[in-house]
Amino acid sequence: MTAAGAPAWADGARILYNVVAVGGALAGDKVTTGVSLAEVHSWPMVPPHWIHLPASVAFAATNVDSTDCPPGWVRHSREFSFTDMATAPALAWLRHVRGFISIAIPTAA
Amino acid sequence: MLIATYALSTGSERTTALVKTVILPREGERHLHGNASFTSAYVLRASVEAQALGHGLILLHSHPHSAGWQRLSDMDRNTESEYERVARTITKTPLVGMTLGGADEAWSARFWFDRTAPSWAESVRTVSAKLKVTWNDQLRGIPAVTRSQQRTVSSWGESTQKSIARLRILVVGAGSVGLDVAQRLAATGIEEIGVMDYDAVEIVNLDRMIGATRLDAALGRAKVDVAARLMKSAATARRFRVSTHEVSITDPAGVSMALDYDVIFSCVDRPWPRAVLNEIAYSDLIPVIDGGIALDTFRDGRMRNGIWRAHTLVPGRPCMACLGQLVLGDVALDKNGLLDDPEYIAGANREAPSRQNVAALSSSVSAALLAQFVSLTAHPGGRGVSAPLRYLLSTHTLEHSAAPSGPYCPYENALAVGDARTPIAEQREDWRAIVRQRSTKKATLRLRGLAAIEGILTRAIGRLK
Repeated sequence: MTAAGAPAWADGARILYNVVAVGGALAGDKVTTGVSLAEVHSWPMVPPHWIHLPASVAFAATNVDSTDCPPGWVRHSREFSFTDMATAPALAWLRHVRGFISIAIPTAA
Repeated sequence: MLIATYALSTGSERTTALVKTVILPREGERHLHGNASFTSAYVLRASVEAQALGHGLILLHSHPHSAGWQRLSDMDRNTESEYERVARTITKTPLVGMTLGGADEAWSARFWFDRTAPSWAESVRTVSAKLKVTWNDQLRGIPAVTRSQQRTVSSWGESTQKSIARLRILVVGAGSVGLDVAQRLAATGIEEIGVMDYDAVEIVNLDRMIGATRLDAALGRAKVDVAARLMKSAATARRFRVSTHEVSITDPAGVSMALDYDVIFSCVDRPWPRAVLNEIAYSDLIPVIDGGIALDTFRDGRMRNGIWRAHTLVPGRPCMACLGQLVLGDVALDKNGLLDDPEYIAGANREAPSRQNVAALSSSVSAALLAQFVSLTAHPGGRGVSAPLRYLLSTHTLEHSAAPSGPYCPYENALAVGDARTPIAEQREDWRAIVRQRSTKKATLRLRGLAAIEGILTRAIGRLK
């Protein structure tokens, strides 16, 4: 992840890192996100599915649960359909997450 | 003479040394004087390099004018025995000795677990688009050609038959394609075939599982047991052994069993088991022959198109992910059970997995997989397996895929890592519960009576010469 531009750190049952949103309600913001440790045992052969985000980040449509999440966090179900083996796995994953964060909508007042 | 390193690939019954890296001699580390010899400094340096890589050590030499499996001369034995302790002390793994018979490029090999005597390998496999095996005839005897194999032997010759018949072949998935493949392998004269599946035969399988009966479905017999019965009936080898594995390949127990085989047929269609097999092909250098069929229908139910595919996963050929035949993100979905969750499928706006299949077309898949097997093992035309193939039923087009291997492919880049492979399989209870439930289920008296009569008839027919 460091080589792909997003150094990661462990946080309990999760691995966290920062991503800058390139569009949407969070455009230009640095957002902390991550994945469950249990989901990366087979990395990079099997990429994770769930994306952890602060509960304050909102989307028009998403499925969430709170597995491995501390209070104030949720994880979003997001399919990773990337198939190009000419891209480094960590970079492909970061692009996937950045794409997701960049469709966030403004939080309801 | 040369030194190389190896990684271990440990199955449930077999241990394989996977050749990893050649360590070339430096100036003064090898002497040529009619015979060749290397210095202890070379062995020491190579052992330290192997230890740093977490590998074992291999001493290789050749008998330039000899053919077939090579035994050890006194001088070779003394040399390997002398260096056995050095290699084992530094690398913590046994020394491996290998000899090349230069006349026919036949390799032989042995492990040195102590310095007194080597433990001879059963075979040496060289894996690329062609699978070439040198057999140790003393440990794996030459199969007798039987009367019923006349046409087979006349197609590719006795020496090819004697090599192919000794391969241990595993068929993963005993459905429409796997069942057909398994029977045809048995008829070809293969002596040892394994079949792995934890499911049972159901009524809805009978339109595709050719040879499975209404009694099999009524009794809920394990698919592997039905496959074993049909294979025994079709087998032409004098000594035929079938191993039934009521196990999931997505479990470490299944992976361990798969590592005992020389060639694997992947006759499964879900992403998780296919990811496991995709890994084994490269990490443990066991050729995996994979394929499948996808049928597409119009809204009114008529057939729009059908595509079957066949490809062999070996070093130098693209893996399922590079071919676009395995979406890695789907493996996580499969592991999480989301592909079977109608609520998730609807919420994610996915199409439910296609269940269409027709016996008339599944035989095209098994034929394509078996043709890959023949190219891999008998090498007609001398070229080994083809590029990945796909046939489009609607346009009658057979295409060769030009998909390259991706430079960042995690599967192909983990070549020959053996036991250091990334664990994709996970121990799960769900398939074990299915197997347990089947073993405790009691059939009605009528069905048990029919099964007993069927057993008597099968055994009587099996005794016919």
